[in-house]
Amino acid sequence: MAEKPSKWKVFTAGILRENPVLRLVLGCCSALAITTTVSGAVGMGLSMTFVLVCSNIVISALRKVIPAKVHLPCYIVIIATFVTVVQMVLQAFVPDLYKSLGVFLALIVVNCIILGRAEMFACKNTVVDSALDGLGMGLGYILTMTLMSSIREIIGGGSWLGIQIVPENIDRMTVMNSAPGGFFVFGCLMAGCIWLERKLNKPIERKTCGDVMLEQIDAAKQQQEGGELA
Amino acid sequence: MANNQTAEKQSAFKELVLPVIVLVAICLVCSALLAVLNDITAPIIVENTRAETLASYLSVLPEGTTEADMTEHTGLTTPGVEGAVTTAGGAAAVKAAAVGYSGKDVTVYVAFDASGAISNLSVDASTQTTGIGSKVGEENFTSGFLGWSGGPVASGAPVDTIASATYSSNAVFAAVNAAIDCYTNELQGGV
Repeated sequence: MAEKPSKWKVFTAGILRENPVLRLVLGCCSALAITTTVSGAVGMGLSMTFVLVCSNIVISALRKVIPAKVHLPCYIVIIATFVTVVQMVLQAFVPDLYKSLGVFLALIVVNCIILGRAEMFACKNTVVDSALDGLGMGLGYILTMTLMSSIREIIGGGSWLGIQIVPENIDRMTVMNSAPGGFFVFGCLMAGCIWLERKLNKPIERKTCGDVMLEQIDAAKQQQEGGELA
Repeated sequence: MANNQTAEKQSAFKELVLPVIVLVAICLVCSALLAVLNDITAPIIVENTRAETLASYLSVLPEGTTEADMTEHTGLTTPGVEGAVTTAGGAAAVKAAAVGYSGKDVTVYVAFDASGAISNLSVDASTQTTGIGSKVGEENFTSGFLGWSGGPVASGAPVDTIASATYSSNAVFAAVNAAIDCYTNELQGGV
């Protein structure tokens, strides 16, 4: 087993190195749909972070209790509970945000970042590490959402957080408010992330499922050969 | 032998019974938590919705109308009508909804003046497709209804259906008709 990463490393992983949206390409549905306004994007990011941290903590605390056979249904029930909590609280206390998030709030249940982190991290790590991971991933998600929505709102609507910054007489590029604009910004940001990686000369290990499988086959072969030699 | 049997029984318990118990326990705890939270938030949500509805009535009623002027009517039986208010000045506002595109409701707030003509109309088309069905909420469509007092509305009377937004337009016609029905049969007749 690889050496245990430090708490700081766990926390900062989600911000750039393993940014959930730009690096792991998880949760793109909400990232593309909600980023037309900064306020909506930040609200979504905060709701998402809350659910992510809470579900990571609970799943990690129960990791030894939940049998492998029913782990997915258990995770979904826990995640859905926290999403419903957020929904009820927002509907009661921040109805405007609740309206602007619409169906995407309920869709946090099936957001792959949360289930992904539960499967990849929380079910194998301690409560503190899982909470830090959730916080880091959530922060990465909020930062990405804020960046994306800032670009889209400024170019598409001429404003930032509802404050007008581009004069009225300059035409808006309304394509930014629709799906193609979202994809365009998403692609540019992903490219920017790769550029940054090259510039800093810290390449990130990229493994596809195929690579992982080949590695496993190689390791098995080596073991077999080792056994024969002995 | 006895040991073997106990081990088998234990593994059967772990394989079959334990997962069920854990899942049921988690579900129960989660439901209990949500029930408690629902008890706390439900009254606030109802209050919010009521305030929002009242604000929508005020937005279509003539300027200067206040919450104190309005009398809320309950027990309305016209299908599609969700609520109505009348003012001391003889004006009335009706909230009605009808199914639009993809089975989602289009809600309208129709204000009538004392003579029974439509004095204002606001359409909430947020459930409809942005840029297509949502056009029924725009002023150049809704303003066509103003001053109408000729009975049920339909495409062409007083406004035409919006091209490519037939379902959403028809929903507005149906909801406005429900509001007119309610006004003539229940509010005008009853009050």
